[in-house]
Amino acid sequence: MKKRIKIIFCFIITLLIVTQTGCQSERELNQLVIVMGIGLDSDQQNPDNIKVIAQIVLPGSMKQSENGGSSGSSGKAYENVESSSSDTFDAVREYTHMLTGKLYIAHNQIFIISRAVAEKGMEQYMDFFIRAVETRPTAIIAISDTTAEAVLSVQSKLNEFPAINIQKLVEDSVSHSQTAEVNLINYINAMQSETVSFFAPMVFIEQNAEGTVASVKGLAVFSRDKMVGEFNEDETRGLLWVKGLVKSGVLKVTVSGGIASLEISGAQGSVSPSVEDGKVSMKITVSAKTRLGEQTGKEDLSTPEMTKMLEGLAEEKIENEITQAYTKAVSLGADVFGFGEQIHKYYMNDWRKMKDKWAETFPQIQLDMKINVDVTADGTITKPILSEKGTNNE
Amino acid sequence: MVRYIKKIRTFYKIKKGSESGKAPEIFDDGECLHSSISENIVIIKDRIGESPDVNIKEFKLGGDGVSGALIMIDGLSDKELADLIVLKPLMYDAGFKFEAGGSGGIDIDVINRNFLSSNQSSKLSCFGKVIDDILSGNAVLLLDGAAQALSIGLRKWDKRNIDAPKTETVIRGPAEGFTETLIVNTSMLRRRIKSPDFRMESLKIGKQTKTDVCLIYMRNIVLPGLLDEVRKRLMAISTDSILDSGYIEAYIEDAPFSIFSTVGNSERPDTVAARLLEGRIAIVVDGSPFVLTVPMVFIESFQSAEDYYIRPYFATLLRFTRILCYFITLLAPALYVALTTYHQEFLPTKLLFTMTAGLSGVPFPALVEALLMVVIFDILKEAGIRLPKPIGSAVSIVGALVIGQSAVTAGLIGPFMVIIVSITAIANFVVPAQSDSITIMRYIFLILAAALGGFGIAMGILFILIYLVSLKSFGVQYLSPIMPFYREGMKDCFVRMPVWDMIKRPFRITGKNIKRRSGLEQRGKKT
Repeated sequence: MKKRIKIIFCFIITLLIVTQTGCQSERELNQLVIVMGIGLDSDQQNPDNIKVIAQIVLPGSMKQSENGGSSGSSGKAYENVESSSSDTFDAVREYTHMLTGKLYIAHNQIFIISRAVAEKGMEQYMDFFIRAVETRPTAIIAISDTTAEAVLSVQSKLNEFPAINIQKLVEDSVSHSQTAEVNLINYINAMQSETVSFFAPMVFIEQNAEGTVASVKGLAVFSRDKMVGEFNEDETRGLLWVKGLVKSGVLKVTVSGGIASLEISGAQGSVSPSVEDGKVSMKITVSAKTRLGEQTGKEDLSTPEMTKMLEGLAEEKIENEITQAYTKAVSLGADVFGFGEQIHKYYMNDWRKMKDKWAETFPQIQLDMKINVDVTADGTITKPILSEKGTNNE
Repeated sequence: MVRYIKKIRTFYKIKKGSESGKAPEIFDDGECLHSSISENIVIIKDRIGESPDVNIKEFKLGGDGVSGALIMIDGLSDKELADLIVLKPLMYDAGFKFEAGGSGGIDIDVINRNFLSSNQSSKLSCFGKVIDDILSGNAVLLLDGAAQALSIGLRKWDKRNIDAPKTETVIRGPAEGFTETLIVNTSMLRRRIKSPDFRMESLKIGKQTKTDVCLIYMRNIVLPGLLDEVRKRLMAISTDSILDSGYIEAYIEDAPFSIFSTVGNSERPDTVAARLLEGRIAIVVDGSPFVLTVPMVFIESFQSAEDYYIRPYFATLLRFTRILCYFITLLAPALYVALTTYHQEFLPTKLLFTMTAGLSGVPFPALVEALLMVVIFDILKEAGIRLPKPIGSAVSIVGALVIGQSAVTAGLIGPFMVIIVSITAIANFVVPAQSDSITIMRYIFLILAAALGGFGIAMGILFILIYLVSLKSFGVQYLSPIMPFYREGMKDCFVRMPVWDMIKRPFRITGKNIKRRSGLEQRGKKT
């Protein structure tokens, strides 16, 4: 009898553990307010305030467009909601007055920050998102040339959500290497470093015949959490060469009689610092594999001599890009290359001495570039099919 | 709580053990036959009762000599054969030798030797044995003046033909299954293993039913201790009735409160023969086409007879498929509930949209939705088995179309739940041997997932693993050869190695005779 009571007691306890402690963070799928993208704008009326724009998914209208087909084009699958307050958390809380349910930011793909906010310093507004458990650390950070709201309203033909569209554009930047994919983790790392400057892709809005189009190119360069300037496409690639982030892209060189475009099929880049008597020099090694993608002239570029010449021109071009990037970085006073970190890593004692006057040391660095380009293939043809006389029928 | 369950188990075992050592009870009060035939007939009639199927034929030897009687049950004994081999020789040929009121006694041995052309006859002297023999289908011959009776083996009754097994069907491999008749079943096994070491032991279990139970083993392979244990447990059974091998299973299994079965069964003679040759013991029960095999291991549920008849690569692929299906059918609804209510961030973003779109307008929480569909599936499954075949198809149409399609259109459940339950249902039939425990655990996992999310599922799996590791079947760990690890056993576990590579038997339970083949010659092909 006593045994039986004990068994029943154990059973009840198990039941209570399951039923009473559980279901705490339970949330049904159809109660979620899924956020695809978050924009941070400065408030026009009240400059001290931050305007948080959330792109939320409307699952109902998505379903319609699946079934209806033709009727689908009428309804948008998303909606941008905005609220404004003195701090981000408060602004996000404001949404509870407007939406049935809390914002669910675990699927947030992108943070778009307006130029105004970025120039003012964005860390105070990002703290909330970095602190939140739900935030995806791989969410991309992009800087809007105008406002975040404008970028989040540009409807794309290929992607249903503007936020996803920008995210895809940034991710696809590997094909031209003229902007970089930067996510929340990179941001956090850069902010924690003493000298490294943060950079993020720039989003521009361009008007064309069919309406507005968002385009991603170049980089916004930061000093600490404040945006100080921009890199154009060439400077961006110069930076990416050094960081070894170039994966693909096109190198255009001028040859006699036209232009030759070399498609980059793979590249490596590395930096090794050396400090001698307080003089800092950086050995930058870049090696790239390319193939001839296009030529506008009629010359036969497939001969060994011409290939050598092409490689030389390409190396010159890369060197030029890197120099441009370095010059721009010096003018902005932003160590985007992470040279400081390199010295910190390999020359601890020297670093302690030069840490405080790094701003003066950075422009003095001597770049020692070793660039090697290989043209490995010419495509399916060697010389152009309409080539110069006499060389055609050998 | 586990400790308390264990206590119940030990208590149960002690209870079972206390009755051991007693031989199965045979209805025998030791009263001996009298020499007067009329007295004997009265007593037998009194014992058996005046049932219409009890056939007592009284006759006189040689037409007018000593009176005799042949007693048998209609439908259990062969009447025509009785006429031919008992009545005809005695009534027409034996009369001149035994005249009425002759030399006083009558020698029943002479009758047996000289006149009965039966190859199966034995002498009985007690009423208990006489009644038993009559009831099991033998014909009993009584003669006036003899205090003994002759039992003549004339058992014959209508039985089902050997048929393809209803469960465990294969494409390649033998297509015969066990039937309800014990002697047919044992003959099917004997035909496969023509070894003098193939041994059978017969028992009668059940005070009322007196069911024939046959213990089969390979004398040279089986571990003597295991055989003793099985014998002991069978002897200890004290019950009224054994109507199917399931009764035996309930009495001899190690963990009577477990949801996992620790006694294997099969309807296929080739499967049982293979298990005998692995050193296991088979228990054949008269009246049941399912033969029990002990000990049972967990991985056995994932092995099919066909695995050994097809090429090893494909057999291995099938093994993995079955194991995958086991987890799908066990966890799919629970994972769905956990993912949609707790771990939405685990879903790919695109999938989240479609799922949210599918769920918009569904009035129930995910748990209710899942429970609803799982219960409906169980109802359909049960109805499909019990219904007469012609109606069965109607049920599946109603189940598939009305419930599946309409429930989604009506907005009662989301379309994803239908997919989840469908795959759960299909995967359920891939591992039929574990389907009962899966069904129970599926509900448990559903509730755990709804209450605690992925953590709950992980806890559930952990608990079940701990339990399985501690489970034993006749001294063999339930999870062997995985835990404890046994290399030879692993050759027939997740991966089915070529038959010629399985040199040793997969269990450590076998006696000295571990090797199936010497293993020196590589495949027999090489000279």
